[in-house]
Amino acid sequence: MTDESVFRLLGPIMVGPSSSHTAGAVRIGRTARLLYGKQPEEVDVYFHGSFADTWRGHGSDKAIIGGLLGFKTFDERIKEADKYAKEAGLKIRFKKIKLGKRYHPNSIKIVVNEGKDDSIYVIAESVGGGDIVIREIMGFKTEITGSNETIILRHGDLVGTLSKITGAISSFNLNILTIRSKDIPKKDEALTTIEIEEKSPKELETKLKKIDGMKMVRILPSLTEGEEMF
Amino acid sequence: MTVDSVLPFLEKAKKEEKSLGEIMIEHEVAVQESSAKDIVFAMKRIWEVMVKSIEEGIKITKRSPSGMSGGDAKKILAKSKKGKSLAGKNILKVAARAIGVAEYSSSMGVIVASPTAGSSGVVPAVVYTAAEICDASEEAIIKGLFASGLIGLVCDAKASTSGSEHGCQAEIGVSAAMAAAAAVEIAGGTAEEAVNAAAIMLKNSLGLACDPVAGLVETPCIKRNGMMAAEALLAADMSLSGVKSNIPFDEVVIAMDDIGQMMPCEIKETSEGGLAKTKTGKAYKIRLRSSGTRKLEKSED
Repeated sequence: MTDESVFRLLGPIMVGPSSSHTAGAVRIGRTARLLYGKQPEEVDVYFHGSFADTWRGHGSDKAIIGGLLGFKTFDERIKEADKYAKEAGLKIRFKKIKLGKRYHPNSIKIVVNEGKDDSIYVIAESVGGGDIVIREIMGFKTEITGSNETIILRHGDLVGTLSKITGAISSFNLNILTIRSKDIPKKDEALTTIEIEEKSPKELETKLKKIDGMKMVRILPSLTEGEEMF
Repeated sequence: MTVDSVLPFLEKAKKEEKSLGEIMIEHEVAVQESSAKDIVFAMKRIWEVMVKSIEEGIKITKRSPSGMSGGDAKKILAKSKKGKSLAGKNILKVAARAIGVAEYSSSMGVIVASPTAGSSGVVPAVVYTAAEICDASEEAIIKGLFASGLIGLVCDAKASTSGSEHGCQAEIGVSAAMAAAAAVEIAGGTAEEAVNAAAIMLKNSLGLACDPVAGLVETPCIKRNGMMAAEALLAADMSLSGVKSNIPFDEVVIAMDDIGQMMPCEIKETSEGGLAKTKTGKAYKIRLRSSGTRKLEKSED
């Protein structure tokens, strides 16, 4: 939303009580769901810093569950998230963690399907006003704010893969805002994150999946999509 | 272009003989490149959520998990309907409504951050009560909300609307200043009177600490919503009576920024000072740890 809009001051519509510890937590939970690509069934949530101290009074646990179920920040069902988790077959454990001083005091780590082949993990910070920053995806440092659509790719470490990826994106006339690519430690794989300016068409996902050595394609829509007035 | 001064808006309002709310609707139309109809419709949605949060809030009887809040709005509202009141019925009503929204937010109800979740009771309660007193139309209410937007925008651009950056003055102080401007608009005041009311209000909130007990948005936040809503109505009346703030609004915002930067981090939402560090405040923190059914498991990492 533009800086000059009054709806920045009157909004968002959200489940209380805290934009950082409730609304932000919903978005962090939803990020993990989007990364996993479908409804997660086994989830471990680690609260770091102020989340470990104040999660109960802020309903951060319910907020995370709501996000994992795909709810938006204004969804009244968040209050009864445990009930909906049961219906969706979502098993969830909450733990306390000390991630270290490098991490923002409002950080959460979410692990989906710990120990299984399709396991993913994410560490994200709630930086205020419901805004979040995704700091780490499976050992890979990121700086994704979710204010734009973000493409997350896991692929073999083959020569030329990156140019095929950017080629696929520009074939749809999409503007790349940021691009980061790095080897995943101890694996013959790389993780690439790309923020794009516009909303991508469905065909982009299909095209990216066809690239040699592509293991995972996730397209994260803007995190505030549908949550803002304009 | 950021909105960092009220002056261009005041000039435009004076020249075109329009109210602040009308000027701000035109501003929003330009910003969103949308129609006035769509802009007003979006604000009506905001207002619907605000009204519902008031209605739900004043019904709450259950205490929160921390044991610090819940049921106060209902008590205050009951007092406004029965017996003598020292402050007056409208003051009790506005306080009850603001506290109700804050309690509703605390119980995971759906609210409108205005500008934040912790200060979400003031604008709805003041607008609702001012409209009730003035027998105002929905159109006037919507204009009031737009008028409040200018106040928030300038505070955000020149200072902050975050307690962790500038203390509670930046949250509840800004919300009350926004509410005072809205009340003037609803009462039929000029743009100048609306901004002047915001200046009077904001001056009286400067330096407010953000020292929440147990790190929760409850103590002192919830009752403060009620207190500040009452003050916002008074600021609006003072301005409408012709009382002028000696320091113009833009400069009050600069003062808020100045004070915010001088405030120590112990009273900026960290719960390391003030009320959070009192004997009773610390006891609430300990009590909260043992409430509820879900427990955090120990992690080996």
